[in-house]
Amino acid sequence: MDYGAAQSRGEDKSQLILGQIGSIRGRLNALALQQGLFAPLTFILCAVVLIVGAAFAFSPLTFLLLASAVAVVAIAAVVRTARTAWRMRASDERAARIADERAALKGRLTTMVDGARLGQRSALWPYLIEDTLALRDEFSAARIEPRRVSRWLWAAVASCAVAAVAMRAAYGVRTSRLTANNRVARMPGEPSVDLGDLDIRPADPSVEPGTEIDADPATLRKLAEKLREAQSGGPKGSPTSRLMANARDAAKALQNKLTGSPAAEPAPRLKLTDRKGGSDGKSPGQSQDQARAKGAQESLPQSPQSSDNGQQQTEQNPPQPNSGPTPGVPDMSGLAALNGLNNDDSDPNGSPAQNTPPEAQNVPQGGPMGTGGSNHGSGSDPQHLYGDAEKPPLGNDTFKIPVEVAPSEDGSSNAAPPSPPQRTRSALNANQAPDEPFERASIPASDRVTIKRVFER
Amino acid sequence: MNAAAAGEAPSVADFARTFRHVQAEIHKVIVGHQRAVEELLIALFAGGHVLIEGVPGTGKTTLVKTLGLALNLSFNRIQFTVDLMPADITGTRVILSSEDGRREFSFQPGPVFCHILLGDEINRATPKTQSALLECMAELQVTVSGITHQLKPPYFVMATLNPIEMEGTYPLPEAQLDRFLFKVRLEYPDESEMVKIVTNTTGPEDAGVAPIFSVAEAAERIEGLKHLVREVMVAQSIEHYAARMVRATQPSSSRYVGQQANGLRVDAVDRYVSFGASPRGAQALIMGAKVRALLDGRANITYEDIDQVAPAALQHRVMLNYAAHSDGIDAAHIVDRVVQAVRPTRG
Repeated sequence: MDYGAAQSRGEDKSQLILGQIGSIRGRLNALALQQGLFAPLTFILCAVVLIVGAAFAFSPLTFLLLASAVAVVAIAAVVRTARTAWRMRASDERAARIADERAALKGRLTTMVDGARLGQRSALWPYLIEDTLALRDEFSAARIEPRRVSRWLWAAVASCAVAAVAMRAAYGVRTSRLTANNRVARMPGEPSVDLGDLDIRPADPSVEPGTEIDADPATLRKLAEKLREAQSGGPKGSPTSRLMANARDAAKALQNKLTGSPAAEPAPRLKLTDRKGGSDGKSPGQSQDQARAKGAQESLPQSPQSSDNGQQQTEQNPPQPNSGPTPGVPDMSGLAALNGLNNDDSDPNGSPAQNTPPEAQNVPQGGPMGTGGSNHGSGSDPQHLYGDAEKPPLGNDTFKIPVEVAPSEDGSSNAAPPSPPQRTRSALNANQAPDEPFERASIPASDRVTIKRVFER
Repeated sequence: MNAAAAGEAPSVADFARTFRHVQAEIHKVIVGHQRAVEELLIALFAGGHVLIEGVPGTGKTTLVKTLGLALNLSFNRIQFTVDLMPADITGTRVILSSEDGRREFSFQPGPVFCHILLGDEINRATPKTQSALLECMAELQVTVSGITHQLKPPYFVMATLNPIEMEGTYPLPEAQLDRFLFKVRLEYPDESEMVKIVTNTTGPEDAGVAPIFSVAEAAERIEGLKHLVREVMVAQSIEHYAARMVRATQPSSSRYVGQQANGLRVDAVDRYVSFGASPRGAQALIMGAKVRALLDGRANITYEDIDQVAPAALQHRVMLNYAAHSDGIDAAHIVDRVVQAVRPTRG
């Protein structure tokens, strides 16, 4: 027998086996590639569906947490599956090793690939080739890896279907909401701002917007801080709370974008204007702000005297001489609006007068002169019930507040209605009369001790 | 007539057939001890030497004698005692008188000049005498009075160790232990095996062992089979596996280990082993695995082959510390832990 021919035949057989290993390798790599494509796609689609669903189902903070968790899990899953797919790719050695394991070939293919690569030609090499070739059917590519298509393909198809259904439903809901929002946006709305426990109100319910008011320095500081917070769009709390507020806003914005809810209303633009600079020489913008504040005051429920018909009230009760922009009396243009806002929205229980004691609204405030007295919380301050009000420290603490507001679907408090109701006005009938403020009367000297004791208690 | 008998190189089938034939002849005399006999033959065809440990009466000497008879190779036995001298093993120069009356020194070969040597209770001899075997085992030669005498292959040393009666014994130095390819342990036979032993050895006739080879061809045939073993192919991943296993027997605290950062750490090794296996351990793993592959009709070895021979190849190469002795941990336990730890690292 010709040795060369025998060797050539041996090489042919060797190439036959190595070719079969190559086909196994190709199939394994195709599966790895499919997994690398379809597994991340599946996870991404699932994550998107979950996030969109959460946008419709949960509040902004819950949505934020859930979406973050889903995103983190999805990213981790994508990275993991991509890495797994990368590791699944097979070289000839790895394909031979896998085939050895799955076909129980006891390392024959691995040894063959090693021998071919390194050029090792042992005396037993022909024996190894023949021995392996006899087991050729055992390690056909179809037998080692029966699948041509990765299971992840079906997962990707299923997730695509789910995502399509979910997106269609979301699109429908979003479209209907956008339509409704456009209707709401055209309706005149009521301004909303949370002034919390800021206890400032006009001393006289009939005071007009634009009236200057004065307050004690502590109240003014609180108001200024409140307004700064409103301007900056969030409370000036701890860094954590600011971060949470920002996160909530971001989540809300994303949620609105996904669900088609109205965009977050701009924060009320409130301005503190120094009395000296703004009381006399009003800028056009300020005048506009004041006009808006006035309109706001007219449209909001006021004290009982002005709650039924604010416009009438304003017309029928011209500014009192003692409440006008006289020295020592602060401008009330912005605060009047703020008072209305406060009564309307700051109450978490929905009671407009929660922050304002009823007596402070119903009872004419001020001392016997009818002009001074405490202009904040006077009903709860027995020290200012009688006699002349203490002369308030004036100067730079006086201000006026133009308020620029926009309609809001939901205010910052739970009491705010989801959408501003259409305000209707009707003429008074014959049995009705516009509210008049109670006349102020001096307290009898005999009752002063009793009243003082009651309020001190 | 098989290929080997016809003068051709033996095939894989010849090897397996011959191996099983020898095994069967031995088991005509030796009852039980299947694993020990197989390991003994694996070491023989791998070209190594065997250390046999067993309590008295378990057939150590009988096993070796039977092997010699089955292979039809020259066989010598040395009973090691404390007063045995190296020259008693290797041979010495003696004065001989010629016919013409002249006296001259002549080399008188010792019992090491044979094919199969049984060193019975080798730990009873002094270290000096024990080390006289080193040159024979490693280099197949003996140097006496500056003259080197070659030993004829195949050369196979089987030393027995008595694990009891340790008084007056000299434990083998690590260097000599390392030269044994395998350490084979002979356990007490179970009841049925013991009945069969009694029946075979107390009757009027001894079980006859038929030699496999003729005297003229025995050495050549065995050398041919040993050469075939070396032709078995080993994938690189399996060589790495064997090397990793040997590295895993070395405690990381040993100053001789070197850079162990990439190595596998086994807690039991770090705690109980003072010195691990040497590169001879990896050689033993591969050679033993090659014989096992041929026995299975393969021209390549597998991870399982390595695992199978690991206990016999490594346990006498692992030097335990005092903590191991106090905790009752033996080398077989350590090797078992090492194999379990290395197994997941298969490629």
